[in-house]
Amino acid sequence: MKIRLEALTRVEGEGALEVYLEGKRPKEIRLSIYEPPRFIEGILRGKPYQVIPDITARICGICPVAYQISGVQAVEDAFGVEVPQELQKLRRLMYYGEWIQSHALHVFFLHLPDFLGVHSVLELAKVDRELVLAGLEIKRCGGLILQTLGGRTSHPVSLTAGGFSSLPESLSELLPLELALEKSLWSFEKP
Amino acid sequence: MKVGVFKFSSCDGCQLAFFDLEEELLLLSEMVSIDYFLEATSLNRWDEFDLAFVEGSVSTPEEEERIKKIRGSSKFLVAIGACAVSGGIQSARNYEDFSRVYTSVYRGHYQANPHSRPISDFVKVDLEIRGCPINKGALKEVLVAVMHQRSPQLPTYPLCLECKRKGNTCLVVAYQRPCLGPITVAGCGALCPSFGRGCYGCYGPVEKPALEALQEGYERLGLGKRPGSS
Repeated sequence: MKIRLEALTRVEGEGALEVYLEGKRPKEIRLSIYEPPRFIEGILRGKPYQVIPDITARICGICPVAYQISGVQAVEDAFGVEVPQELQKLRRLMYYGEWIQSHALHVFFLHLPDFLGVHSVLELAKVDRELVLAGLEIKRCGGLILQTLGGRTSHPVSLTAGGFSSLPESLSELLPLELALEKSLWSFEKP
Repeated sequence: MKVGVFKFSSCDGCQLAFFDLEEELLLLSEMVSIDYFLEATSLNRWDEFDLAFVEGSVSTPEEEERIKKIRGSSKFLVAIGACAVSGGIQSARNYEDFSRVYTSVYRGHYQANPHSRPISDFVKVDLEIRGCPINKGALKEVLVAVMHQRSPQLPTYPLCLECKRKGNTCLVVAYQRPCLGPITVAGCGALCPSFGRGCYGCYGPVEKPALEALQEGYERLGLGKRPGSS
């Protein structure tokens, strides 16, 4: 017997799944990713180094920072440029912002509905609104980090080979991040 | 109202704008029926759509067929983001030798057209939301407008106006740095100039971009041509 899922849902990207059953046991499972190739690597050839992070970002709208930083690090390696520690830490902070946002999205929007027997986060909100709002709080503080350091939650604009196009003028610009992080923790720890 | 959200060749970033609506998305789901949205729900119905949002460009034979099918089922079709509106970053291959691009990366066989195209090359598009990615403000404006049967108010003027209103120092005038602001449609909040770099045009051109004037201005600043080009 064969079970075919034409389209996998609540995943990042596109795919189909075929499960071949022998009795009740799966004998073979075939995953096909039908997401069209976009040839980002091919497009990059011959481009000026300045545009690389803006192109690599578009590999994924959910985790663009990973590709932007990979892009700028490749350029920095090629030129033999070492980025000062402070800037590396700020890049790290952007990574954290992306991780928080993307993992919260993954957990609450994509994954959790399966464990709680609902079809979507929208349905989940009808069953347990508090839980979803707490999840949104986490996602939002990841987004706030990205917006503060890079202007927007997807495809931020500040990462460049050699550093950043613009930096926070003082530490006080980063203080709202601390508050948001504490608030998101509190939304889960409160009784 | 029945709503569908569809993905073509893209990075998923524009669909993310729906998730960015956060609590307003929960509210929206009480006001409309989200019938098809693979990334958001495992319960998808393909019937008739009052409002269809399409992310991504058409870059495979399968996508050429699927966009026509969606158009046939939808009363009002909105292209969201640079891929759907103009072909996206993957359309950079349109200007290169495709066989070279095709073989530069992967081994094996897969279906891909030599060109990545906007969906308006294949079907009638009722409305475009610009941006790479789109922002949730524009998405919300379109949703509210369509629900109230009025025209959405999206900027059609150049980014420079937005940049001036923000009080940014002009990068071209002050630092002789190239910026696509004069010919790019506003909507992002003049993000790049606010972060100390020239606009790279991810919202696409205004209706009548003054290309010659911009080129002339940049050439005067020594920015127009790459060294060695004629």
